[in-house]
Amino acid sequence: MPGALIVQSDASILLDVHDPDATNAREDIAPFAELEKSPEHMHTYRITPLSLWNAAAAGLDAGQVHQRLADHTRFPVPPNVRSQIEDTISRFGRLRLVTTEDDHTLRLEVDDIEVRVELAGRAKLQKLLQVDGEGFLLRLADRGTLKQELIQIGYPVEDLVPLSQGEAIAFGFRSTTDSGLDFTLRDYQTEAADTFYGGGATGAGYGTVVLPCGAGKTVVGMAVMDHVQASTLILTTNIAAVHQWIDELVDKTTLDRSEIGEYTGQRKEIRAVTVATYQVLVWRPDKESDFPHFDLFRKRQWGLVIYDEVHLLPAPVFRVVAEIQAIRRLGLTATLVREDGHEADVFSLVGPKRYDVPWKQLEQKGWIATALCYEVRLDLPKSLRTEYALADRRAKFRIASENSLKVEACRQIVENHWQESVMVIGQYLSQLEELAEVLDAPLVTGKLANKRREEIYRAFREGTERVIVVSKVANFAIDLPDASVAVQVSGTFGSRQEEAQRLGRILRPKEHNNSHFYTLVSNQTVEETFAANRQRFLTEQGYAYRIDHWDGEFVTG
Amino acid sequence: MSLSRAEVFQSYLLDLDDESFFALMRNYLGPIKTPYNKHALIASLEELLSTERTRDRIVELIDEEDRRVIAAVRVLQPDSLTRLSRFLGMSYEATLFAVSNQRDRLILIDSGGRLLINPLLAEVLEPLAPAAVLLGAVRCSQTVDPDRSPWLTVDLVYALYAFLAARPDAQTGSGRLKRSVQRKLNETFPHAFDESKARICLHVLENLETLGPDGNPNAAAFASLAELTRGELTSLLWAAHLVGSAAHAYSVAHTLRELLHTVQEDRCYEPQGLLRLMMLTGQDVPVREDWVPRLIELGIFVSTADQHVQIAPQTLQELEAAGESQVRVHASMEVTPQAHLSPRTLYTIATLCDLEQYDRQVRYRINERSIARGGSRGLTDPLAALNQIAGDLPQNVRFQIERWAERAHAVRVVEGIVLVVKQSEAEILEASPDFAQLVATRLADGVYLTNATGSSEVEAFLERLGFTSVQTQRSEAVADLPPDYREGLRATSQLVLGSNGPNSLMSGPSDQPGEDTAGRRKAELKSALAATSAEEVQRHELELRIDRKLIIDRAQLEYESGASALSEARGLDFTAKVRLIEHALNRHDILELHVRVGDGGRERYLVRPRALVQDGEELILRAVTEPEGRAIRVRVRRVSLARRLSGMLLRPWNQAGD
Repeated sequence: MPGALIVQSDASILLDVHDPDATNAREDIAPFAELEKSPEHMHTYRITPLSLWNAAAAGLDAGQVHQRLADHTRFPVPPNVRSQIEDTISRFGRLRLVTTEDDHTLRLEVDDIEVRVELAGRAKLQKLLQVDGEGFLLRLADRGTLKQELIQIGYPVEDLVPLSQGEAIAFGFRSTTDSGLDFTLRDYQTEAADTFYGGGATGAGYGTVVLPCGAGKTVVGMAVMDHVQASTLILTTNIAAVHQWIDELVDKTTLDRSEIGEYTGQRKEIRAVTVATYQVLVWRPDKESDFPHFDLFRKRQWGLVIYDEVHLLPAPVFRVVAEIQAIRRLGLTATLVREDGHEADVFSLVGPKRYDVPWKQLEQKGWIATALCYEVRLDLPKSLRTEYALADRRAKFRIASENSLKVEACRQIVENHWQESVMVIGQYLSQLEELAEVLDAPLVTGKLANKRREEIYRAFREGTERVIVVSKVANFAIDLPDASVAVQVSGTFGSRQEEAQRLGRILRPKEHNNSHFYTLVSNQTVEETFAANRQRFLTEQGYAYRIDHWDGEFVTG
Repeated sequence: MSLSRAEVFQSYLLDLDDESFFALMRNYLGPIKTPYNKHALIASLEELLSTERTRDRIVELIDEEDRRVIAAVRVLQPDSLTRLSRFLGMSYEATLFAVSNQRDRLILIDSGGRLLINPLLAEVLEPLAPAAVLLGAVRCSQTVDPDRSPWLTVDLVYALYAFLAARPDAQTGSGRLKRSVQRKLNETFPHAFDESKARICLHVLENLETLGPDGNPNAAAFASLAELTRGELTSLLWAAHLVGSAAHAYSVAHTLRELLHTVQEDRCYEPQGLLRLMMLTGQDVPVREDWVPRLIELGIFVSTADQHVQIAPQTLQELEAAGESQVRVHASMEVTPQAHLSPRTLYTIATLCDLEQYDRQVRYRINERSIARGGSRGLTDPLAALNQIAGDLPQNVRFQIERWAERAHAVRVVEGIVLVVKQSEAEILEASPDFAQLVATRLADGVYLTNATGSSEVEAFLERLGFTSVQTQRSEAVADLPPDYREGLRATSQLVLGSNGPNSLMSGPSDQPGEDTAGRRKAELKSALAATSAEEVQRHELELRIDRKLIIDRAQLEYESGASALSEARGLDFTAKVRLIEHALNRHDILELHVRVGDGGRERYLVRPRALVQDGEELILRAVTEPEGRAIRVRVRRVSLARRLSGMLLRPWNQAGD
């Protein structure tokens, strides 16, 4: 049956990857549909109002969208989707945001009188807008909030206000890194940065790039900086990640260490390129006070803000992000999933997804390691089965997670990978302490001082420590390039994002070996269900799991 | 030896009664002088009809209605006026008038019990009335979306089966979907699948006896449908929307399929023309006027601006689609069947998976509950079943399904009738040769799960062994007992019969039969009725009797459905009235008749039928009124209601009315 695409009534698009036309179809729909998942047979894209408005901003009209779908569709496009596309795209351009003579005031132009009346009648908008002839005036600081509100009621704004250029700085990439290795950008990294920057045109320069862990999102950030050539504020999750950013910038660009500031709990340097943590931004003396470090956004004429691991952007930062819509902003993430459900807020404030690529595609090209995923099922010891059966749901999860047999199973896995760097990751301190003791490995938890943590990470990178046991502090933004085996002994309740991030720790490409990702799960317990939920994100990225039953002896795959 | 055209015509004229014969001759040949010779008169008439002038005059007077009647007689050669009137979609009276008129005009004649075009005029009449006249077929002037396709498909029905199977008790007592289920249905099925389509689907499934009295899907019935080919099942589903019973749907399905292959894609048809075509296709199918709107409702036909209908461009594709198709099982447990799978494959998927989304691409998902549900519906080896339809499964899926299937067997819920026996009596029971057949399994000492479908079966067995006083206890009572209930039961001196089955007929001493019991019983009887071969009319009759509590045992259904149990016929259903009168004659029943009279009023008679006789075009009932004993003749077509008084069980005489 011809046609690689199947357009569903809910505006999702299924791409049959086995169809000979799949590559062309993927390229044709990418400008107006977002990739949601990419399992082994059928990838799912979704047409959303935001994706259509971005396509409209890039010059696509409804007719061209219809034509691209018609060129590849296997079945007729459902009529409701056709009309949805037309209606949504027709709304783009009816509201335009332009500058005025006053630098602190913008003007919202609305040609359609009915729309003007509707906007004027909305209570939330009345606080932001002041009627002015055939449009409205608004404060520059309300630019993001207004756009967010308008999108929620189905009116996209064509933002024609130029983005701030920021203070200029001059730097470039090194062809040989500071550590002496050859360096060039990978094709997808260049493509991601170019797509984001959009040649500096209106309608580009804000948005999110989604790439798997280990694919070099930091390098994409640096490539965008290279385009912008302006002072840059980089926000990331923890101090270790701040140091990694700084090291990378020094290693791969012509920026001098003295040009890069560290803004953390320990240091408060503000320089042309400044790397800060989210924690320091949202710190305040008490619950009633303002956030004193929000001033960081205003203390310099930033030309670019990079939000690393943007899915973790703390809610209080949303407000300030809304205020600084005049600045180019880049979100970087591996997982669009946000367990608090605020994805929409993040992406309407930071910007829509600009670039995405299926994980397996990068794996096939060798840009990330081939990961083999195993779920190891262990029975609960007989002594725990009755206790487990009578426990409440939360206690059940704890009993299953701390199944004592996991320690021995983990020991055997580590032993079987005796030449490789192994991370053992878990949730419960007592369990991790026991494992650290049995494996004779250092333990990294939130309690450990930052300095000591970094020493352990360094030792692990250098190979002096072959095995480390870590709690969830190592879930994000920790670059441990040589780790090739991860053993997950316990995790939070079914967090898909956590599963993906943990796998991400071992996805840096390896010269000789594949990576191995083990999850230990107690048989016939709630852990099975939670594990299945966690694994869903990865199976939707095309990873297959092998499940084996462990009965006292384990042979590695 | 076949007769020549002239001989056929002569024979027709000679068979006429004198009054009609001479009236005809006088009309065409003028006054007749005596002595007359019938053969000479016929020869004169033949000569008249052979002249070009006469023929031209006859042809000139033929209008559109004449053409339709002539064409119908030509293709149908009807043996009864009733058949012709149905075929033409005209009232019996109008048809009678039209036919009588054409007989008088020598256009039509009777021969061998059939109506024919006068063979002497056939040469000039037949070209005037081609079959197309009957169909009202014209070349389509407007274009229809080439993707238009019927929405009621095999894929949809099995998706709905999966949806309902995962939601037992989805319907309210009045047969509507519960609100929460309707909401979920709206989420799972696409926008185009609205409430009215859902109602049609449920109606079709009920007609095909795939839903139980409680509205829950009957897995065995769905499995049985899966034995059909995709085309057969598609036409059966469509037919089930036209008629009211499974048996009828099967007979109509074939005709419908033939019809759809007969109509031309570039032609638009008058609705009545389509029905006529269907009547010609299936000789014995009683076609109804509302079939065309129903076919349009299903999207099989599309109505055009000029009141015509056209077959939807994708109808035949949907009907005959078959080919190699794949089922993909993903590591994420998602299952995506491709188009045009066989019903057997779709049944397997729908039985073992939960429906996630019904759309252009249907998506199912395997989970622990769906595998357990599949097991209880007979697919006890889910892995083999899925392997067969999808080939090699991802390892994690294989592992998980094996585990789930294994776990589904770890604990079981068994519905049935449990026999609890004091240890001392157990020996007597076990010694009986019938005991092994009665007992399915021994659950514990003195506790047996029986094979019986009702407590009476067990009681009969016990009675044969001398246990005449048996206590029947409902499962609720058993559940109220402490955990060591067996000890407690052993302390009693009686045998105790318990049941937790849904079809229990039992009631304990404290459980007086009430509304619920009656309702349950009626539902059981209706379910039993559905399994009989009763015709639609009989079925309706028996359902009424069940509602009136006149049927108390299944056995009554068997002899009643075997007999022609019609008790009442009314309205335009002429055939039913004739059948009822014939039946009353055979059984010497008294009939109540309501007869239309000249001034638009009605008269009511209570009569004892004596004979049913043909008088020209009329069927006449000769009868004697009760209690006066007056002989009367009643034209059957004047009867607006006929009711057998032996069938008056349903309605008291003084409440009967039109």
